[in-house]
Amino acid sequence: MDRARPTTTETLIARHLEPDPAQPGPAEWRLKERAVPVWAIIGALTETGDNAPQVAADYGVSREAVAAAVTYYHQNRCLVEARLAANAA
Amino acid sequence: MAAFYLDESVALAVESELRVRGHFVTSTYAEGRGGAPDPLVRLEAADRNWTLVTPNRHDFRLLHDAWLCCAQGWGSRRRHAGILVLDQVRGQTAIGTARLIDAVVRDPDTQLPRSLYDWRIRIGSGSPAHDAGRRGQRDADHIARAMRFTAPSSTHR
Repeated sequence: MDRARPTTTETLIARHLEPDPAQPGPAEWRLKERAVPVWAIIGALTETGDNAPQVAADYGVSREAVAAAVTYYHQNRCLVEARLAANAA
Repeated sequence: MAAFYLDESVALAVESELRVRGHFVTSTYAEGRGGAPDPLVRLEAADRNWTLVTPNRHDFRLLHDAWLCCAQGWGSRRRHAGILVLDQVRGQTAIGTARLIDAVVRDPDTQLPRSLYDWRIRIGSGSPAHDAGRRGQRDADHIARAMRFTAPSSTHR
């Protein structure tokens, strides 16, 4: 029986992201590099994401890790937006 | 000059930019605490008298409220250097964030010790302004009333 191969996006996310053991839940996932929360990366990006290289440099993480955070955001948009909204409240 | 402890949601490059401006700065990452639970980060900052800097308003307001409750409930007068919560500004560089932090702590109206200083973007103004800096006082008063303790006469407990 063939096993489904992980997609490119799943591989990207698995390579760079992980859940936060102290705070379970998809909204709290973080980068493996430096344990930066996904919401922090998304909150630093412009609407178009054109500053992704600058965000990667400022946070001291790879561009691919930022891309993984963006990919994760697109898959969990409501949860990450809600987490950002909770910070703004 | 202030002493700052940056959590992992603050850009790493802010550290060096604040040092350039004459502050002592360290971070959860530099201290080998990357990914540590927020309560431990909070405790370490308090133990070392470092002002914790974070955009994580959601979690650290809860922790700060708990800290106030415990301090008042147990009659503790232990000091801590405060928490500085900053709104994230989309597209802001590390240099911009460092300038903002520097400006906030140099403002004579800023009172960080024992408080949560809440810096927010003024909605609709188009430029950042700290218009919620007294929130720590309101929180302290609210908690004191809720717990039927005497409200602190000083600005922050």
